[in-house]
Amino acid sequence: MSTPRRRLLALTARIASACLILAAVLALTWWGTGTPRATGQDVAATSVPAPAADVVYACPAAPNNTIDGVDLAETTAATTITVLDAASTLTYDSQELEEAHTTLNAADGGILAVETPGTTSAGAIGTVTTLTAAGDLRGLTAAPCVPPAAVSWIVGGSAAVGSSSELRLTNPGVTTVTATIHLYGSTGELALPSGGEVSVRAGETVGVLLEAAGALDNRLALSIEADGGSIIPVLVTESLDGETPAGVDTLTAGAAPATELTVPGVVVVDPADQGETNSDNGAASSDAPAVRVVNPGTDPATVAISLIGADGEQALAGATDVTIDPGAVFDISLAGVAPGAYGVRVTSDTPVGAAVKLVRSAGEYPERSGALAHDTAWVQTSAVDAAADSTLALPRGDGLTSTLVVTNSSNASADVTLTSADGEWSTDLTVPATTTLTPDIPDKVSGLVITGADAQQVSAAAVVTAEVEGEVPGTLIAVVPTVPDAAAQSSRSLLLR
Amino acid sequence: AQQPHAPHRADAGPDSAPTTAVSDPDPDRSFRARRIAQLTAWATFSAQPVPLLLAWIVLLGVARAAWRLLTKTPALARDEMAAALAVARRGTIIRRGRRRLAAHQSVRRAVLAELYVRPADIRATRRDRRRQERERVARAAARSELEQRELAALTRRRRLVLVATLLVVTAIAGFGLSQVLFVRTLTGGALPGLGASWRELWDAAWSTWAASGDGYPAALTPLFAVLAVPVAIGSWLGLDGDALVHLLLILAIPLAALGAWYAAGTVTRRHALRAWAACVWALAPTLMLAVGQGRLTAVMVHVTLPWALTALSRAVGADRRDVVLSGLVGAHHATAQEKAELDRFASARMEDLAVLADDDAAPEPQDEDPASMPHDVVAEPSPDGAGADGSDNPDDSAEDSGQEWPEPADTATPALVDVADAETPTQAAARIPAPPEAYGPGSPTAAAVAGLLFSLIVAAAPVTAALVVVGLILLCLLVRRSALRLLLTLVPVVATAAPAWWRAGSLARADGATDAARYLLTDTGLPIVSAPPSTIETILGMPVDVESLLTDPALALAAKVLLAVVPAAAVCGLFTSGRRGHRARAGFLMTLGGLALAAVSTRVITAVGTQADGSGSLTVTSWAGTGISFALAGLLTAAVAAGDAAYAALPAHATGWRRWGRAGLVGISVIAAAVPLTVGGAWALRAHGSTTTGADAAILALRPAGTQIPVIASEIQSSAASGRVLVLTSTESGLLVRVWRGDGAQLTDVVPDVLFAQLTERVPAATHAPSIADGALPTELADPADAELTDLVVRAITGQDEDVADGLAAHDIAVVVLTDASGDDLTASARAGLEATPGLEQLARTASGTSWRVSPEGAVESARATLVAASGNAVTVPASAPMLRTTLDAGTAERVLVLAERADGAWHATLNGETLETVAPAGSVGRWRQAFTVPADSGELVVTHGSLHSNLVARCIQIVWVITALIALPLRRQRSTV
Repeated sequence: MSTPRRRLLALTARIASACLILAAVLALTWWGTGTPRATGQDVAATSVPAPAADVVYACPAAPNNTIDGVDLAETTAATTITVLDAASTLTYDSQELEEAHTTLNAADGGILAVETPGTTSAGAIGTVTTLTAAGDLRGLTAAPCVPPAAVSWIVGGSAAVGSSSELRLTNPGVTTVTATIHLYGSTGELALPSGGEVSVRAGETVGVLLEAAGALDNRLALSIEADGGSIIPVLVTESLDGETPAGVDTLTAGAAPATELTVPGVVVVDPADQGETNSDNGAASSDAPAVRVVNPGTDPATVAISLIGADGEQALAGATDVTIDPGAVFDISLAGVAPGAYGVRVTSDTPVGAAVKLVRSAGEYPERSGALAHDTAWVQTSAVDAAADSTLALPRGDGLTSTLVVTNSSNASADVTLTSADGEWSTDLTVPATTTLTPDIPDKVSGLVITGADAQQVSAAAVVTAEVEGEVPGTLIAVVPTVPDAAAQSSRSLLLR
Repeated sequence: AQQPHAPHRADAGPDSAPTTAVSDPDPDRSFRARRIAQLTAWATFSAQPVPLLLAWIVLLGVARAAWRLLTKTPALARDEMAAALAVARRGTIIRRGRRRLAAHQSVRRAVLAELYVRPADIRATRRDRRRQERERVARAAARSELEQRELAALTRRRRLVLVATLLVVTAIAGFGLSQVLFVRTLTGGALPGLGASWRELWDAAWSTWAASGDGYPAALTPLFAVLAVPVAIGSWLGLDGDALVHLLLILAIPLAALGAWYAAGTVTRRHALRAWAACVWALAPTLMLAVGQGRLTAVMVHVTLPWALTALSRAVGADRRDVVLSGLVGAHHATAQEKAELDRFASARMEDLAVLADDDAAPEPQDEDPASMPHDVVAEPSPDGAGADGSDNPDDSAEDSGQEWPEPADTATPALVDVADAETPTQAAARIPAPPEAYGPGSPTAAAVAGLLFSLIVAAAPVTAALVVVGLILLCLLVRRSALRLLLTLVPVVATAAPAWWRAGSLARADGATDAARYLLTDTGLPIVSAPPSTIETILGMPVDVESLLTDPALALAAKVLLAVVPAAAVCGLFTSGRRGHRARAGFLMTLGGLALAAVSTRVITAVGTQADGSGSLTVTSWAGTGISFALAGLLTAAVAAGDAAYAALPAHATGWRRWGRAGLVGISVIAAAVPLTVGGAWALRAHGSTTTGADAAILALRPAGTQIPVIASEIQSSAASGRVLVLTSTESGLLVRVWRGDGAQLTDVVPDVLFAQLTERVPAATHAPSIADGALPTELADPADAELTDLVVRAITGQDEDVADGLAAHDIAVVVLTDASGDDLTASARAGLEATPGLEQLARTASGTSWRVSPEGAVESARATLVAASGNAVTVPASAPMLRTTLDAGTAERVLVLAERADGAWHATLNGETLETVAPAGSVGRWRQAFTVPADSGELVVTHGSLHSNLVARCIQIVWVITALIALPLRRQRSTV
């Protein structure tokens, strides 16, 4: 073979082999483009059933006049306890309860223990209501019996002149627990004596007056961290506007700070009835409905507030871009909101805590004082899926009217089932996306078990009102939040690695 | 002892040149016969007893064979052994010879002995002769002064460029890793701890039991043995395994640059190209991301690969060598015309010369037909440098560089040749040909080194054995002359890969090929998720989705365009000719393999892991970077070959269109050089500012490590009971439960066997066909040990359960650590529950969390091995190593030895050599454990895991490694041309 021919042959072979290799690369690419890649899929934690244990609640006692009021009228108190599992044994304040539904005409507070013979825990629904029609402590309180927690958040209360906020810490366990209280005020975190550390002995309740911070702050929020056990905190607020009763309330813990919160059960009425406008003779209420937001973080939070009503969601005018300093507590007025039942949605870029203050005002009292007598109620945020597997007390009797308010804050409609505590009444409820409903509940139902699918964003609360006559006629208000169902708490999520 | 001189005479005999016409005698061919003769004569003349002497000869034969192996003469080693054995069988002949000698003997032996030359004289003579031979060889190979000076200049320039390259790369790496440069140890990302001593690592390597959690059966893990070597060396210098890993990670990028520099040196001798290749390799996204995410095995593969390829090309003699043109290149005997010209110059007058200058250009001396020249042309290479390199050279074998270029020794005396230097300097420059390509001679030492280095790669990532073995076999077929030598590379690789592939094979038979692939592709290291790249991105060298790192689409596109430079250059390399073309095409084949590996990696779920910052819980694919390292190595080979060909075709002093081509080439080179620097700089900037959480963790997840467990817990871990630590950490999705046998997750916890077992047992849904359905995959607790542990944890954090401590002790959990999280409800309630659990005594509150010691009721402490008497009392048996060997005291009755390891058929226990019966452990907890009935006798108790087969494989691997390492020792290296 001559040299040029050999060269030509070599060139052809070279180009052919190069093309072959390139074709192989292209074929691989083509195959790769057509075949899907494996992407990381979430692996869920294992749900391991916890051993059946006694379920413990603490029922709050009535306000005990920490404000040192002198004009004390008679108080009607009631403690209602309903068992959810007939087989379980209830012990309240060291006394065994025989009946499935017990009503005590007292509000002394105490620890409610539910012992279940079976393998799954069962709980109970308990509420404590106090109604005072007149006097310095005029007002309605209604609070559920709540289980202990290691970390609790309460947004609400005031330490200004004329107000008293008593934090009661109950230790249901068998060892002494040290609780650390972080108190936040309008300008940042407030210092409590002894660094906010309180030692609570087993089975005891310790009261802490938040006025002890010495800040005279009218905007408070607080967190309680328990070390060595768990704690049930209750905040009792009593207020006077000069000589005028300005409401009492009992607050239980709400959800921990988050970037997405919903406050259910915000029932807004006519401005004249909730202290937003002055009366004809110029008397004014010292309180008006407001959303309170606390930023416990170290960076400023930008908060937007919207109202989820019966017709959908609408932004709260002027509250779409509120900056809250680190550690500060901020009140945003709900003035101008059309009457109706709402859920207040709070969104923020960093975790914040929130609550809503509701007000019902009465006439000017005492005469010519220039102040309207009123009652307040605090609604805490609930965890977003709080209404799935939770219980809700609906206080009845003694002239109390309970309204169930259910809010769905997700963009998909949610289905929940409402069952009465005794299991005799039940209804399925579909809550459309971003809507608040006030379903009718028969009068005989005093406690509800709310169940629904997981991952729904439904929250609920019972708004309790009472019309009182006498010296200061008017409406009194309180709100009962939902309580997690003990049966739903009996399994733990574990990630084995 | 005195030796007769006759054997030496026999040795000396064949050294004299034979008188026949055979041109090149090979004395080695007759070596065996000569050695047999020598030994026989020696034995016959000796007065020592024959059996003793024969035994001594065999021993001597073994030693001499080993020495021959070391000196890279395996054929002689074989002959040594064969000769020794042959003589050992000749006892009768030797005795007969002695009798014959004795019959002729008329005086005493002592008289005869006086006639013999003394052994010392023989040795001295031999030494002298060897020295002379060495000198002769050295003289023959010596370079001329001119060449030496040229080489020295070349070396100086080369070192300067290398140092500059390393400085740039080190600066970029140092800036990127500045957060973790000066810390004690590292953690984060996929990086496990390596706290064990070299002895533990070595034992773990050859154990078929993975000491992780409650234990898993596993294949042999040669990776641990590979790591044990540097850890052993480091321990002399006071460095522990974690410090070495830290050192490796921060030095990985400069080391990769160094390796790539030498690897590129086998393809091109151009400093600029080598520096570029070093930068591209060191600043490859796959290495930088692997370093940032702490992927130890991927880093090992990337850093080792260029060295392995360098060794391989040296082994087959495909490594380019620097060539210095001797002063005689281009020189030839003066032709008659030239001589006439000279005469004219000598005799002509000045004015004649002026006329002559005008027509000087026309008669160029090069136009002449060489055939018409009266003298032979000496050393005249082809005038165009590119064409000289083999496309038209049929002798394209890798071996004989000396035949392509005259030996310097042949031309070492320039002064003796009649040189005509009639050209002007410019003409001379145009005539000096580009240096031809010179290649190494091929070397078995390099083949053995390549074998060891590829073994390291295969140990780090067993799946790469598919590429390496196929590649080596192809190379054997293509380069026939090196095939035998390549066995030195192939055998250790196959031996190292054997355990993992054997396991994969049995998995394939049992569960299908998908599971086998899943097992092989599982990376050693904490499983962390990475966004899998598309195939195009793997070609560009990205081991993760570009969009996951650069959210701006314009930036992502720019990055892709930048990264496309190397593949584009590589495609050009495909079309080059000659050996460069062969190299480029071989490189592309490697690329193809690497890409296929990367493509498969991105499509197989291998483990349950976390995000790069350790949060979350999700399924993880294999790391595509290992395949991409192979692909990039191939692409770089082709690209460097293309660059070398382009520079050779467009020389610096070219004229005409080549001049413009050269300018264009330089421009392209500048752009190409900017690519790795830009990519590396961008990585360094982001890594420098990384917070090691969230999206930043994909760039740099490494952070300084502190102790993760209290000191007392690590003391308990290293005690004779070797207790484990249960670590509970609250996360968003639940309580994270981990069982540690060391300070944090150790390398033994993240071997493929453990990860594969955990994936298939805990999340079987992930191993099915990829489900498009969203929603989290469920975790199942099919394994009884896992189910029991989770149940125990829930009971412990609920509190007041009296059986928890005993249950934890059955898992050998001695300490429970609850990670601190202020303000976390789950942590606080778990702490309350643990405090209320009987049998848990609070130890300490440290930075790592709150810890409790487990005090079981029936025993003194939690222990890995316990001896349970009939009464239920348990005694700790010291068992810190995977294998248990201890002396037992006699008991009163039969006892039960319980190991806190999962029951497995391969557990084997003996007492005084007698096999013990396997038994199911008593009690309600820990029925998943391995237990044996132990008689009341005292004696030595030995518990092992594994089979004869696995022991055999372990020994085979060790022997192959040792032999390869002996051959790889650089002894008797012949002086080569640079």
